[in-house]
Amino acid sequence: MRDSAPLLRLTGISKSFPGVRALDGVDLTVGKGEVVALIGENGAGKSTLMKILNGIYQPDAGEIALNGAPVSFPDPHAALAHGVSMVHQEPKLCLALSVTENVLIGHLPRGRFGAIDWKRAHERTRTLLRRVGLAMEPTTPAERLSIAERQLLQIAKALASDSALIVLDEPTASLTPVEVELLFGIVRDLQAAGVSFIYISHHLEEILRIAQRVSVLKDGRKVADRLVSETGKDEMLSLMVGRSLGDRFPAKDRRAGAVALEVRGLSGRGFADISFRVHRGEVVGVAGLVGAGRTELARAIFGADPLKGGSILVNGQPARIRNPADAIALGIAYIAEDRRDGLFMPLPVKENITCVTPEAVASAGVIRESSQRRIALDYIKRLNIRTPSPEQQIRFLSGGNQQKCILARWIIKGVQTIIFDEPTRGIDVGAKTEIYRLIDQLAREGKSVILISSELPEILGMSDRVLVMERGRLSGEVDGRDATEESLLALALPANPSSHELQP
Amino acid sequence: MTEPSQPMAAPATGPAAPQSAPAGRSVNWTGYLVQYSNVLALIVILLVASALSPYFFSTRNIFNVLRGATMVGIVAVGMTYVILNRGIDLSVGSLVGLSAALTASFADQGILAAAAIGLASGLFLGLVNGLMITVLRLQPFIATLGMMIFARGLVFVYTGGSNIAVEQPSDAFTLLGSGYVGPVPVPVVVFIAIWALAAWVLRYTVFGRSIYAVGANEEAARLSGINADRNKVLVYCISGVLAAFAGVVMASRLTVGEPNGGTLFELDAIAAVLIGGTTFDGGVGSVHGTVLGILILAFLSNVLNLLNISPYSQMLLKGVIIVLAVVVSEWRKRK
Repeated sequence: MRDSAPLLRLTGISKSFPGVRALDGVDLTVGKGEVVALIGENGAGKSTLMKILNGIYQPDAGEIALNGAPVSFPDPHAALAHGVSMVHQEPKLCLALSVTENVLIGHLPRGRFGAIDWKRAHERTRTLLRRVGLAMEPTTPAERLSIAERQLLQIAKALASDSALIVLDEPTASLTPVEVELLFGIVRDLQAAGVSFIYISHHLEEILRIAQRVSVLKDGRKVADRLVSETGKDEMLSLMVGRSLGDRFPAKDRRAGAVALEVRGLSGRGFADISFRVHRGEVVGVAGLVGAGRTELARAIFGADPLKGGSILVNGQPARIRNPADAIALGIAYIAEDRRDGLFMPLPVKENITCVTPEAVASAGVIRESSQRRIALDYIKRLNIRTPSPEQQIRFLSGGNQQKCILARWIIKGVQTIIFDEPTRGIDVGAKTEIYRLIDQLAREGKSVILISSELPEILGMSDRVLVMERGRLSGEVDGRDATEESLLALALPANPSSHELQP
Repeated sequence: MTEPSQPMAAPATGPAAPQSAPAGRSVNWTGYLVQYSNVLALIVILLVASALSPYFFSTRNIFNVLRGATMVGIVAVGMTYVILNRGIDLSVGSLVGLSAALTASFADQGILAAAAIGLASGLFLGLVNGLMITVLRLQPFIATLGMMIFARGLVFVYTGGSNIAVEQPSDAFTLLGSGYVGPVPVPVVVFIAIWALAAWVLRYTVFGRSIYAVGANEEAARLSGINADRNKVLVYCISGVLAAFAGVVMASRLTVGEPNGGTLFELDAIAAVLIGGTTFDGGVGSVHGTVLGILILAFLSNVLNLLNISPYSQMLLKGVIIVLAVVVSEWRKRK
């Protein structure tokens, strides 16, 4: 297979940003028709390397060679022209435009007088959609597609420009298990047709299944290159973090106290008739497929979306929650699924940490900058947040550190109940373990934690009790010690396709 | 994305310790050039001006220029709040005109009563702007465009299309626009006070920081318990009141309410805000930047006047400068 030069060879790639050496002499090769996984903690340099490969950044040193010939990618168009494309974690699509326009953008076929030949365009799109297993009409607006379909659409788009190498960045982050299978099937088909992939993921199980080789980045250097057949999860983990992660999850010897939050017959957009209780000192997991209504439920409890019916009791008292401010005043916090919904990107870390606690940093509406800084520094240290200073804009922090800033906010606020919605999505293993430890610590201090997660190991590892949702309904409750991936999946998968259809 | 400059294996101690800015070691001249480009631009303008005309640095000329800039300056301070909040207020020019006409027509009731009526008009219409944006969920551009036309209509209806002149204006009436404190014109003093107060509120109050928070990410602000709608309404009220105050200064200065008073102020104000580095994306910028923008625009046209360049040609240069300023502030962001 690799008798001649490999499809892609990166040699000695280095890149520095002010004060940071992001990449230091990184080598990477990808053969024709090969799937190479790229792993490493957030901040290890994966994104920087891929941005260089896609012409978004220019390397300070090093060489990119395709099929043995040196190339340079001054911009993303150049990379695309050489057959290198990127499928982003959050698909970048023109939502209002049709599937055809999104797939063929930049090379819509022209007919007479240079006008677009729509018939040919839709025909071509249909062929490409078939290759990625999509069956919708090419005229469908992209906004009607599910997240999984949008991912596949991006692959179709890459195929439209005859890409020989496709970078998949965390492609399964928002996919259900069934959709993951579908994606893997397509990757294998394309691989058989000679397309190569660089597969970036935090899910090591996936890498073991889909990739042939794995390259490990750590602190901007490539620390290992292994054949997948000759390595395993444990070795990959220890290569990434430099330590073994046998004890990823804290022990579950927490003690539940009085009921802190109770919901009765709660209904809203996307869920109906939900009742459950959360005790002090307890971590309650909420499992379910993507789209089961978990985020909708959490947002409605927090007052971010309206309720249609049912009641919420806080410490046994009926509570009226009309907006997030009401919920916060009652000691409820919600940490959003999409981290960007919680962050003020251009503002400094210290303000992002203290934005919900004006009472701690201001008197009579006037901010005391010294106490703001002191509190921020205190929590930066306590939660081990990596930032050069409290004045740093939060957009420069890695995902895990941003998440810790958001968590710090609510710890300072001293809320009783915290709803975590996918708290470790897109976060590296090291930071994940830290977040688990923090959640455990909160529960041990008597706080109540609701943990929504699509990662079953996370639900199993963290929860004292697990609620399972299925198409807007509570389909079951399992003790955290008895739960298995199989038992949760059985409850989460649609049992009887037509039985309880949810009203829109 | 940016990685810590410290070794990863220092869990308990190091990472949180404050460090000096990353750029501290080697002086990054291009960085500074981009960072302070607008300060530099002002200095260059001042140097060129003083070389061109010995008259330029006279107290009289400087204060004339400054006084001329105060009315748009006051409007631009309000515009800074609005744009930081990720909005836009196109109605301010019309609100200036309305307030000036009302103030001039009620001059016989005394300056305080006349000014109060003018300010109330700005507050009320600013409130309407805010409610259109938060309750009716209109885009700020559309809501304030409607208000711009509506309020200008009000001015024409109220004035009947002709000037309202103040009969024998009292000294108290003209003080705000034409008075002096020592050598310094009163409007300049007033403007400096507004600038200082506005900058302080923005930097040191919870309300001010909420303006940034809502501008940077409205959803995150809402999920943090900030009442984003109330914050926006207040911001448009402030913009309306400041525009009306500029109208009071105008009436006092000209002793006449003109139907066209304040026309195009909104564009000059937006230009000053942009030149000052506040971005349309919200959450980034400052009142200090806006004042710099006002000074650049004011001294630039003074220099061009001294050079005898026609106002028509001046517009060419101003257009270029505004676009350049935004390009530079994009660089600044990417830095």
